[in-house]
This record gives sequence, C-alpha cells and structure tokens, in this order.
Amino acid sequence: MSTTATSTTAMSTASVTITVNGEAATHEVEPRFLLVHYLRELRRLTGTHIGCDTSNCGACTVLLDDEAVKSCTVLAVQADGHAVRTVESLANPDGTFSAIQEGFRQEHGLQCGYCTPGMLMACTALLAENPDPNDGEIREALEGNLCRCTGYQMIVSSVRWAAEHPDGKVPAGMSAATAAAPGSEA
Amino acid sequence: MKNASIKVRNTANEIAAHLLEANPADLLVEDDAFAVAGSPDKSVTWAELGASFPPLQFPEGTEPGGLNTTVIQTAPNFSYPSGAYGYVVSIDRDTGAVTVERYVLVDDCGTVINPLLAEGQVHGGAAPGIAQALFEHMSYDEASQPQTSTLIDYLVPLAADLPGFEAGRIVTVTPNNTLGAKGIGESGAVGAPPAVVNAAAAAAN
Repeated sequence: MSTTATSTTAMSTASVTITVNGEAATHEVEPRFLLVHYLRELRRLTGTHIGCDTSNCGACTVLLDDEAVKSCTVLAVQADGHAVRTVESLANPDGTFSAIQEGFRQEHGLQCGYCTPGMLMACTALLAENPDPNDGEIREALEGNLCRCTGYQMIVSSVRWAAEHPDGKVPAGMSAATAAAPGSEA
Repeated sequence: MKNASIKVRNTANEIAAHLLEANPADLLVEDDAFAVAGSPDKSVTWAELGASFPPLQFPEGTEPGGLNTTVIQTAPNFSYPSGAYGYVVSIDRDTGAVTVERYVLVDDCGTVINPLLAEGQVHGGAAPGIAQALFEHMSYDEASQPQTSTLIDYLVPLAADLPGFEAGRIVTVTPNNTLGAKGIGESGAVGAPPAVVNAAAAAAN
C-alpha cells in the first residue's frame, strides 16, 4: 500500500445538527468526535470542562434532552437531532444568576471551580426531577461528579438553597456570602 | 494584607480629598464611596478612584502607582494553628467496612475574615483526610502494573461516601502578624487520618 494512497484517504465525516442552548447548527464531524469536543471546539462553549476524559469525574456533565450525561462519553453523532444544554444556558436572560448558580454563590459551593459546570448541570437535572431533595438524595444524585475541594457539604447546602429559593432571589440581609465583615469574628 | 489594605485606603483617601477639594482628615468612607463628613451628596466612589487619570487627578506627592501597593512584611515567627477533631465510626461486622457516622471539627486559625470560606477550607481538607484513612490507595500487581489507574479505582470519595461535617471554631489571635490570622488550609487533611484511625480502633475494641 503506497503512502500516497494512505495520505489522501480522508477520514469519513458525518453531518450532525445539534441544538445547543436553543440554537441549532450543522457541522461535519468525524464519527469518533466526542460531544464535549464538539461543544468546546466547534460551538466554542468552553464552560463545559474536560476533567478525566474517561467518565469518572463528571466535570463534562451536560443535559442531553434534559438528562444529565457525561459529554466525554457521548459521541457528537449520537447527539444528532437532539438538544443539549450547557452551563452557559443557566443564567437568566438579564444576566442574573439562576437559583442553582446563586445557591453555589451563597453557600460557597465551589472552591477551585473545575467541577462546577458539571456539578451545576447535574444539580439542574436533579432539581428538575426532584425540586425538594433531602441531603441524602442530593448526595446520591451527585455520585457521578467528583469534587476534590469542598468535601461536598457546601455543594449539598447549595442545592438546598436553590430548592428553598426557586426564584434565585437572595432575601434582603440574608446573604451568607457577603455577611462576613472583617474583624467580626475577633 | 492588612497593612497593604490600610495603605491603599489611605492613598485612596488622599486622592478622594483632592478630587473633592477637601481636607483628607474630614473624609469618611461609607459603602463604596468617600465623602466629606456631614455632606454625603458629593462623593467619590472606589470605581471613580480606580478610573481617575493619575497625572491630572492625583494630588502632589502621590506615590507612583497610585492605588497599586506592595507591602512586604517579615513575621517574627511562625503562627501555630491548632484544632481538635472527633469522629464516630461504625464497622460492619461482616465486611469490615468502616462508615463515618459523625464528624466534629473545631479549629483555631486566629482572626477570620470570611467564616464561610474558612469553614470551606476545613471541609476541603477533612474530605481527602478521611479518604486517606479509609479509601484512597495506589496499588500495583506483582508485575508493578498499577491497579488503580482511574479516579474511581483510586477511590476519590463521592458525596455519598462522606458525612456532613459539624465545624466549630475558637479564636486565639497570633501576635506574629498584624492580622492575627493563622493557617487553615491544611488542618482538615492533617487531623482527619489519625482521628478516623483512632475511632476505628476504638470501635474494633
């Protein structure tokens, strides 16, 4: 087999039309192309992180037809004709935080932030299915998402905050995130 | 950090006084703006100070850099944070599996600026500390082939593997820095492994 023949043999591609955060687009992709690479490289939505690339960690979690999936383990061609939601879709149209985002802010649900986009999407799926989960249900629902910073407790309380404040509005004077004043502890 | 903050605040006060054509000593800073005491109508915000163009709006004698400040401080000694951790664990008689039932952590890291973030640091140390004692381990077979080649095999703890933490705090200010603060980032990771092992040993007896 000549090298010329090999180098001119193009990888076959497939046409995919995927609706991401409400916007449909069509691309030619290799069949092996992962959904997470499609989102980050072709749709330029880099909020979805690649953590382990082996579906261990959940950093790449997105919603595929409203179901939480690890986008490093879904092929772009499998999402053809389907709707994907990423972390970029969570904020309200006016730019303010949604309930789950505000919950993470109020309850310190993140430290380094790497797992956060995946956590937020997994939590979004959980709250859509169960708007008032208890701590045990939250911990069980987040089994697919690893966090190495928080020890999970404040992620659990972030989800509880979102469940208790479904409009995402912070009651006046109730902000834990901004209540701490220098010297107030001394 | 405290000294740098004071220096920035004093410089800002000088620039604000210059912009308000007032005596620096007469200014009060409230919320996010400087104003002359007694006449809050005319004020200068921090954002306006940040945007002011130095050559034209800084008073004479302002150091180059304006609000940019570096303060280097040498502490006379280390600070020594302390704490006490107590665990309740249960052991499954059939499998030997250890479950952490309750986890109480009390830390003393001196002055705390943001209690929520300080507690987050304790949780974040305690979780891998528990995992070091109970879960995480790199293992190899006889041919030195790693058997724990993924995060799941290595047993990074999941949310469902860990208990809720009960964190408390006492405050003993260190004299060795102006803020009176001591370290907190590593305390959970240091205290958790021996505390879990002690609890498991007590339960096994």
